[in-house]
This record gives sequence, structure tokens and C-alpha cells, in this order.
Amino acid sequence: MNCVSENNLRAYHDAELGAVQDSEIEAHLAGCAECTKRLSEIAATAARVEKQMVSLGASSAEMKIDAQAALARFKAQQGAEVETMPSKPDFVADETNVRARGRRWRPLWIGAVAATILLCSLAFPFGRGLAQRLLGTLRVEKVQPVRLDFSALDGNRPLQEMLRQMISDKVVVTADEKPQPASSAADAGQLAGFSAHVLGARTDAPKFIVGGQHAFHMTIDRTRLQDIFDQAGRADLLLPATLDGANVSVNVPRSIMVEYGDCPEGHPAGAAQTAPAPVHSGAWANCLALQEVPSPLVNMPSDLNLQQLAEIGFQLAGMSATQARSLGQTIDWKSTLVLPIPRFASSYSQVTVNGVQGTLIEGSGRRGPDYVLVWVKNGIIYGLVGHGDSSNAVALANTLN
Amino acid sequence: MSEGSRVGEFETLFVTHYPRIVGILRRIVGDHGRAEDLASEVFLKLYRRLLAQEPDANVGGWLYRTATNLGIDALRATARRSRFEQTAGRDAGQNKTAESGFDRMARFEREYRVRTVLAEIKPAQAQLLLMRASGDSYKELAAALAIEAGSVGTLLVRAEAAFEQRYRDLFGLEEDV
Repeated sequence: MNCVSENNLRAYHDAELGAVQDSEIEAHLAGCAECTKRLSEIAATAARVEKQMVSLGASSAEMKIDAQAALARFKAQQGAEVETMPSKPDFVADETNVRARGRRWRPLWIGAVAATILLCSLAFPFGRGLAQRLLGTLRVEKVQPVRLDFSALDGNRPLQEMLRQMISDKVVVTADEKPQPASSAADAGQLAGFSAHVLGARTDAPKFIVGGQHAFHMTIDRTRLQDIFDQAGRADLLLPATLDGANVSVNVPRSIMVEYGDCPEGHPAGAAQTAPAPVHSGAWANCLALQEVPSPLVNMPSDLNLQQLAEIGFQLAGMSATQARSLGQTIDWKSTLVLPIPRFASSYSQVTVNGVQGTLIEGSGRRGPDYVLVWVKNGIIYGLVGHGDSSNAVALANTLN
Repeated sequence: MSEGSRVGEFETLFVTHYPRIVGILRRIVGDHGRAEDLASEVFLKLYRRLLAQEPDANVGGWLYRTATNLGIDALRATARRSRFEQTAGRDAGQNKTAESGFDRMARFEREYRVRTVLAEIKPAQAQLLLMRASGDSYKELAAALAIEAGSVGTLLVRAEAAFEQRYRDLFGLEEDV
């Protein structure tokens, strides 16, 4: 027998080989001083390192951890996500789903609106009655991509808990419809209340899904918001005391999803979240999904200084006050949907789609490239999501009819 | 699988693996509270995977791999801020009240050195050493870390050599190392 490999010497030392191999090695060691010496060295090193590692502390058994109590704590801490994730409304996604399902893009109205609400500092003269608080309406007319990085807030458990608790206490959900399939474009249009558009370039029959309506309203609690800012490490961002008690309402109308080709079930923002990730690059290459959503309506006090709020939000996302100010000044806040560019997106660009300005965001993950093209026309927000080559995304979108 | 059965599956996995996950994280970061926080992160990731129905035949392996990855990341971040002593001191003060002051100091120093070395060697090697020290067999290590079962011995020998070398570089030659 040749000398024993280092791998087998170590495995022999750890009793990880079978009886037959053990016998062979022992027979060899009996006549090989070199292997015997090497085994001795390996065993000595292993023992020294093991001693160091063991010094790091008690085993789980010694710590007597109560897993049931830990589970109860976990559910209490993560309750919001654990309870609500499966029924998140259309057009709402988070990076969990993005990672889990390949790519999900997020114009993220609820998220964006929630963030806006959180960042609100309403410029009310204190003491005005509710009746005098005239509401201004936001309606999306265009999309503005902005790179934001909220990673500094990730993993801040107390902050997440405070947000969850505040949302649970203050947000009153008035509509939360489930998605439903539709048999045709006409059927989908009837259910959704607006005409469904399809892609003329695709001759295969699409599937139609009508996303549910979602609506909520909330009363702003300035003190709790300020606590949340403090918890986020931004005690320097001060909300005016006059903010308290303002009412904000959000209504996301029914949407239509038109899905072509071989797609993961529920792709990309549909109801059923049951799709396994594609297993190889190029999977779902013929999958194309067009989402159509009438502009959500956000009602809030008309004297709200949205630019000021947005600048606070940008600072919360890591921008300097100067950067936030200069960006804030370029956006018409009453008609623009700020589209946070996901961290994984490799690039984005402004393009002309159907005669209006749109944004093409491209990502390149381990499972191949994905893209989303977003534009707004005639009060409808469109999102075209595809896998693979994005070079014909605009041409495809231009065949909308 | 229905949502209800996924939740049930999650709870079973949580109760089964939580103590050991906290144990391994406690070893890595040296602070019980921090270990429980990281364990929560691990199980939240698991919950999301179950919701997304990402197929995984080896959930246990995934859990330990994810836990050690998170733990080592936390260790490296902590190492950069040189706060091992404070961390160890806080935890030990809660759990080892019967220990003499001298013994406690010696233990802090020993743990500090081991964690510093683990934070400085390759994460994959640190992960292998930590999981082996937690009692994983070669088969379990191979499955959890997606390495060939036939190369675990060699990888362990290399990881131990790297650990000792780095330890000597940082703290000199000792009787133990």
C-alpha cells in the first residue's frame, strides 16, 4: 500500500472511515514511520485546535435553551412579517421576495407611501380643526428612479418592532382584496374597471390576473415617528410638533397582470407566491409579464411640504442634507412616483416608451439577467418584467394595444 | 404545500434546531443575547425560504451554514471594532458569577484570542472549524457546506494549520498552540 493521504489520515484519526479502511491504514502504519509521524502531527494539531475551540463556551445543552419560549418570542418579534407576507398586495414586494423568487421589482407603492407617511412633517398651524385640513391628492404621472440605500436600517430589530407596532396601531385597512384570475382581456377589464392592454408582439395567449384593491388610512402620531427616527440613529431629523393628528389615506385600485410564456406561478407580482426559483440561467426566458395599475391615490393635507419630507427621507437613506436638497428640488412631488432602485440592479436608464419617458432597470443575478421597464401613461402605471435580454424591452412595450 | 403546513413545518424546524443554532452562535460571538438575535435572523431567513418554497433537501445543513456565516460576519465586524473584551465581559458577568476574577480574566483573554484568529482566517475555514467543534460528522459537514465528503479531512487539516499559524502570528508561541 502507498502512503496514506492526509485526508485519510485525518479521517482515520476522527474515526470517520469504515472498518475495512481502518484495518488497511493500521496495517500500513505498522510499517511506515513517515505516515505514523504525520498522523501524530495531525492528531496533535487537531487536539490543540479543538481545545481552543472548546474554550469558546458552553454547548446548547449546557445552556438549557427553551426553544418553545424562543419560538413564542420570535413570533412576537417578527409577527408583522410572519403574518402578512403571504398576502402582500400586488405591486408590493420586498427584497426577500426578490431574492427568493429570482427577481421581483418594486414600484412598491405601499412601501413608498408608508415611507412617505413616516417621513411626513406636516406644516399645519397647530389648532386647526380637522374640517379645515383640506386634502390634497397625489396622482402619479411619471416615475423617477432614485438609488436609495436603507441597508443601515436593516437588522435594527427595535426599529422594525416600533414600525410594526405603529402600523398595527395606527393604520386602518379598509380594503384588502385577493387577486383573481380572469378568462380574457375583456373579463379582466370588467373586473378591474379599466381596459386591459396586451402586447401586440406576442401572439401566444396570455394569462390574466386581476389584482385586488388595497386601501388604508392612518392618523400620524408625531411623537412615535420621532421615536422611530431616534431609533434609526437620526435624532437630528426633527419633525415639527404640529404634525400630530394629520390624516393620510391611500387607495391602490385593482390592477391587471398579463402574463406570457412559461413563467413561475405568480410572477412577478401576482398573488400566488409559490414559485421555486429557476434552476438555470435562461430559465423562463420567454416569460414576460405586464402589470397595469391605475395611479394609486394618496390624500393628505394640502399644505403638506412634500419636498421637505422627501429630503428627510433621502437623508434617512444615507444622503447628505445637500444631496437630498438638490435631488428634492428636481422632483414634482405631487405627481411623481419615486422608484427606489434595488441594490442588486446593475443599471438603469431613461428611455422613451409609447411616447412618454420610462425607466429601464436591468439586473444581472446568478440566474441570468432580468429587467423591468416602468412608465406612466394616461393615469396607468405600466411595468413590463422580463427575463433575459432587455434590448427589445422597449420595442415590445411599444406594441401595447 | 399550504401556508398553514409551511408555518407548521417552520415551527417544528425552529424547536428542533434553535438550541443548537444559538449554541454555535454563542460560541462564535461570545454573547448570548447577540447569539439569540443572530439566531432570529437565521430563522427569519428560513421562514422566508419556506414561504418562497425554495427546495432544500437539507434544511438542517442550510441552517448551520447560514448561522455560521452570520456569526463569522458578526465576528469579523466586531473584530474590526476591537470590542471582544467588552462583549465577553458583559456575557460572562451574567453567566459566570461563581468564577474568580483571575480565572475570568484568563478566560476572557483565551476567548478573545480564539475569536480574533477565527475572524482573521478564511471564513470558510473558520466555519469548518466551528461546525466540527460543534460535533458535526464529516458527512454532515459535507452536506452543510456543500463540499466533497472525501475532502473534509484535508480541509480540516488545512484549516487547523491556518488557525495555528495565525494564532502564532498574532499572539506568539504558547504551550497550547
